[in-house]
Amino acid sequence: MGTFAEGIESIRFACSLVLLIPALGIILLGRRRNLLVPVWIVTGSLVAWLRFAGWWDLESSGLWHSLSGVLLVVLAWLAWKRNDAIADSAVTVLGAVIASWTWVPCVGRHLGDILNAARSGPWGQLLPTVAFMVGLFVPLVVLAALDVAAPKLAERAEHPQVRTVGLAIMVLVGALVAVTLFDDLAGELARRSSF
Amino acid sequence: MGRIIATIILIGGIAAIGWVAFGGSDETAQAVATEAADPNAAADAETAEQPAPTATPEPIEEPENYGPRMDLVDIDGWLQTDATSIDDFNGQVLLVEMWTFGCFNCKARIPHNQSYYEEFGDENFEILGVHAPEFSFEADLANIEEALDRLDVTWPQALDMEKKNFRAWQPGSTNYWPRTYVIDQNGDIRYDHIGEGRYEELRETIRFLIENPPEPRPAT
Repeated sequence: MGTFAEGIESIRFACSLVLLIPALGIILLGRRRNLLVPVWIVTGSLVAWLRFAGWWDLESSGLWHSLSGVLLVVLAWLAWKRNDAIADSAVTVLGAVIASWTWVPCVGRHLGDILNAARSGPWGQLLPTVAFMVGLFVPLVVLAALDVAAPKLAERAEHPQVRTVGLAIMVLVGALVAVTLFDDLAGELARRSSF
Repeated sequence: MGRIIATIILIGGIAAIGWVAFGGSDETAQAVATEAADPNAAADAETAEQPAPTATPEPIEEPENYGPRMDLVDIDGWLQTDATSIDDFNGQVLLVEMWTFGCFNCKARIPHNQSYYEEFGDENFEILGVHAPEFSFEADLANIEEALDRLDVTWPQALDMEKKNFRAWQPGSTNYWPRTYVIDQNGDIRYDHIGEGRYEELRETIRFLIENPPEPRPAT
C-alpha cells in the first residue's frame, strides 16, 4: 500500500513529468481509454522493471532513441487519422516504452526498496513496480473508469479538437525525443512550476 | 455491471488521490504537505522526528566491501571546500551523495546528512555532495548556491554539470537521484543505497568504519 501511495505522491514531482506528459497526450488522443490505460501502465511498468533489474541497458539517447521518437510521431498521426484499436494500441505501447526508457526517477523510500532489491532479486520486484506505476498513473485510471461510468462525458472527450491537442502533445514529445530535447522540455516545465 | 465496477474504480481512485494529497498515507506524504507550505519547515520536521543517536549502539556486522570507488573526473567546480579532487578526501570515511537540489527525495535526505555531520563531524568523517542536475535550471550556479544556502547544506560539493560522474558511478541505464555511498579510509565502497531510507543503517556503517578502520593497504 505504501508503494502505491508513493506512486500517487510522485505525481507532483518534476521527475515524473517525463512519464506524465506523454500519458496526457495518449489520454487526449486515444479512444478506448479503458483499453489504452491498462496497456500504458503494463508496458511502462515492464520497461521500468527491466531497467531496475539491469536487463534493459540501452541508454536513452543515440540512434535508437531518436528513431523511436520519429516512429512515435508517425504512429500518433496514424492513431489520430484512423479509428482502430491497433493504431491506438501501437502509439500507446511505443509512448509508454519511450517514457519509461527516458524516465530518471526521484527515488523515495518504497521505490528505493524496489531498486535496491531488484539488483539481487528482480522477480520479487515486478509486482511492487506495477503497484508504484498504478499509483503514479491513478489519474489515468480514473479517466478510463469515467469513460465507462459516464459514457456521455467520454463522448465529449473524444471531440476532434481534444484529440488534436492529444496529437499535438504526442508529436511534440516524439519530435523532442528525436532531437534528444525531451528532458529539457520536462525541465522547463519543472522550473516554471518551481520558481 | 461494467458501469458499477467502473464507478467503484472511479470513486476509489479519487479517494486514493485525496487520501494521499491530504497526508493520510505515511510520513513522506506529511513531509510533502508540509513542504508545500514551507520547504524549510519540512526539513526541520524530519530532523525533529529522527531518533536520537543511542549512547551504546548495538554492534553491527562489518559492512560489505563493494571494491574500490571510482574517480571524479571533469568536475565543473568545487563549492564549500578547498579540495580539487576526491583524492583530497583519502584516508577519511567519506559519504558521497549523488543529488540535485530540485529533487524532493534528495532534499528529504538532507536533515539526516546534517545529523551525521553533527555526530561525526569532529571525527575522521566528511560528506561530499556530487551535484548532478536533472534539469537546466539546476545547472545554474547561482541557483545551486542559493539552494545550498536555503537548504542549509554546508558540506563540500563537486559540480557534475554534465552528469559524467553521475552516470559513470551508476553504469548502464540505472542512474538515480539520490544515490548514497560510503567510502572507507582505503577508498573502498562500503555502503551503496538508492533513494531515501535506511538512515540508521547508514549511521551505523559510518560509526563502524570510524571505530574499526580497515588495515591500510600496502603502498604499491
